[in-house]
Amino acid sequence: MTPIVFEHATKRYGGITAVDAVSLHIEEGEFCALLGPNGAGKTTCIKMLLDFTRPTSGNVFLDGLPSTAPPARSHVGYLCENFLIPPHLSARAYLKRAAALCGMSGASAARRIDFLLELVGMKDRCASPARTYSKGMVQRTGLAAALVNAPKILLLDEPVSGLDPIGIRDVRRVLEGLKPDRVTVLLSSHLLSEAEKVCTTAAIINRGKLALRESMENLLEKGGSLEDIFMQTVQAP
Amino acid sequence: MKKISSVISIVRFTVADELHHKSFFALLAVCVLLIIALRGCYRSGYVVNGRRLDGIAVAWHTALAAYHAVAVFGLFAAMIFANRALRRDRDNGTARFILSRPVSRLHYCAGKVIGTWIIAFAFMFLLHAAVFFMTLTVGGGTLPLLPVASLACGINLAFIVCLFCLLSTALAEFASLAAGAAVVGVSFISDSIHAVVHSSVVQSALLPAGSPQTFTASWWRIAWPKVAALQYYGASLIKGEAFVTMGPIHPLANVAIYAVLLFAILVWRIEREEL
Repeated sequence: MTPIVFEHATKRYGGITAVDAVSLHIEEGEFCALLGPNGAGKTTCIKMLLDFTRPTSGNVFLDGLPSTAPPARSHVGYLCENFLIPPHLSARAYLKRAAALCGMSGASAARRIDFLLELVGMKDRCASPARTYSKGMVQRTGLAAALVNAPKILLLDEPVSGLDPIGIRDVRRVLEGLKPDRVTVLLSSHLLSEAEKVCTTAAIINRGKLALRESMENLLEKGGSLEDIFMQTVQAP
Repeated sequence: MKKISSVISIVRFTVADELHHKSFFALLAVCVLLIIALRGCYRSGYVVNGRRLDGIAVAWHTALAAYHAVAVFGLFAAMIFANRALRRDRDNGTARFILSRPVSRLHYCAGKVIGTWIIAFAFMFLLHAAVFFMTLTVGGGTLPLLPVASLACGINLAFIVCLFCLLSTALAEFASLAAGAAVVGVSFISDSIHAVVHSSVVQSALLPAGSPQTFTASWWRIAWPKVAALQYYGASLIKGEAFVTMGPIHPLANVAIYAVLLFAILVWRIEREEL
């Protein structure tokens, strides 16, 4: 079963086509970088997967189910762009909420939360309210919340935006740690160097259309860096 | 079972988030102060035409006035809580956080509406309980059906919560507050005129003894949400008086039907909303 499937998915907002007949299959254990310039349709693709918005035409499947079915999100973790935490909540309280929504409670949830707080380096500040957190700390808490249910599919929209180099390295380390568990990751990012380091495949979207889909190895064998290939793809007429 | 637990979780989040708002405690403090201020009314020795009024009767009427005042405070509180419940979730990322989990939008709406209703009802019921105990201890009288009347007003709060949650998805903050308040305001004007016209005092002054009451309300007044009428129905329970309904539908049924209808429209809207 392919965890993430787009079948001719199109999303129009009035006269504007944000996503244009995208067909994309992301296999189990694949770390796919979803790349593209601003407004290319990357976030809309992720929103369609989570049923935050519905395709105008075509189909989107998540974990083998239509993305509109709530059970499709049972084994999914998600970190959105410009992630926010209600300012009165601490990281621990926020993770408890995430665990409760995934049906986790009691000692197993507490153990998982402790493990994740340690993993993302938020153990020391886990009791402070989020209003006292830096952007990086909020982002780390968001990553922990995305991982709370030990997801099979992880959707990350700009996960390192606002992070300092140490934070970026930590996120990379966390993601690398998921590879042995065959977690499927769809990572939307503008940071091409990070995508190149973490991901095994890349999909470049330009003006709503899937312009390129290739393994990272093949792309880099063609010569140059991911940045060169990205620029060639998005600047092509 | 999992579906119910997700609704319960959302109810808990909604209540906890509301309790972190300073305005909740500010509103509660103002209302408690007003109730405490009523203590003087219970204790005063009123003299009319040279005759001292019965203390228990004064306490009873004061408590009835307090019942109405608290019911109106409850409506205001429900308006404020409901107007920001969904808006706050959209603004601080909670809606995305919840709906990225295996939670349907129906359960999300149910959790938000129930949570907001619980906090608004608890707010009103606590104040009604304060009136009940003050009447008992300071006034020396009892209002055995005040809790039942408070429960009836709870149906009003369910309507208000559904109305303001729905309006908040379509209008800006102030506009939704104004539109919802207008709906409630019209209800109070229409139902209050009806209540006054059908009061025993007015009836005995206007109609010759034994002549039948005539009912001439226009259709829109009969169909309008009977928020105030339901509150007056609660008062009639306390007073032990008969209640004259406007039209064939009892205010309890009228408000309950509207609440269910508005909830259905809210779910329909949220199902189509983009996050």
